[in-house]
Amino acid sequence: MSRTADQIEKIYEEYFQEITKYLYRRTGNMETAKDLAQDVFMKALHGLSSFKGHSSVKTWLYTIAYHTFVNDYRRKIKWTITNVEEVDYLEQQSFLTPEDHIETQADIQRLWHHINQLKDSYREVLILRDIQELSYEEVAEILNWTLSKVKTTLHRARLELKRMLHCEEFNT
Amino acid sequence: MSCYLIEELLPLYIEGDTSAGTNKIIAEHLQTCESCRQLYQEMKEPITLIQSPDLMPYIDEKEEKRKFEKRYYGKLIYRASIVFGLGYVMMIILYWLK
Repeated sequence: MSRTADQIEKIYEEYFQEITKYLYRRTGNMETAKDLAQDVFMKALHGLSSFKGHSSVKTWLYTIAYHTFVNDYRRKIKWTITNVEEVDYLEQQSFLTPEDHIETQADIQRLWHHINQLKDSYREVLILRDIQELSYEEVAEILNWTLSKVKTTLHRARLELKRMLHCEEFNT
Repeated sequence: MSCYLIEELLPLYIEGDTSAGTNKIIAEHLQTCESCRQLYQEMKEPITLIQSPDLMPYIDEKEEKRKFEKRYYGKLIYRASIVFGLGYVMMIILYWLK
């Protein structure tokens, strides 16, 4: 195997799960997420020689994944309207007791139902920071935003999400 | 300072990114303004649900890696065959021109 292939294999093994999970959280569909993740690593493979190391490999991959998702989303939005009910967030295998599992499933479904209703910039920053647990600096680099824009948008996103969750609790 | 400005600054205030002078103005405003105080409390409150486990379908890493390698090597073979094909055509052309 060539040096590039060796490098990409290492990167692939280290980040494939994480990037696929991120794409799953953005798309709501595992098959799409896996396909997009394959595209991300193919793009990374082609761009590896031009990767100058100004950012970490992780943020570089996230940036490719973010743009891959956005481009795919723009292409698809012309043809379809995503139904938030159709996202397959419920397919996980779990080791919880059945009662706990049902409760957790319902909670998680509720959470994602609301996350999917947030406006795009809110959803993006919330997933990157609170779900993927990236640092503010990493999020800023991936989205090409300033640090204060990341923080401000994140707090507004959290606030809106909390309000949606509270509003739902109040109505039930 | 107006409530609008306070609302704008609250995220950075919570993050500790505002200057000492601004902090003082915001703190004073929060003591006197009920609605901004409520907003501040609301913003500070964590979202407990977000700490719950995620519902993530199983990812068959081996299968995905196999697919990736197939695509990678497929592309290499495709490129090699184009180069080979072009070389072959060139040789035929050169042979004819001779």
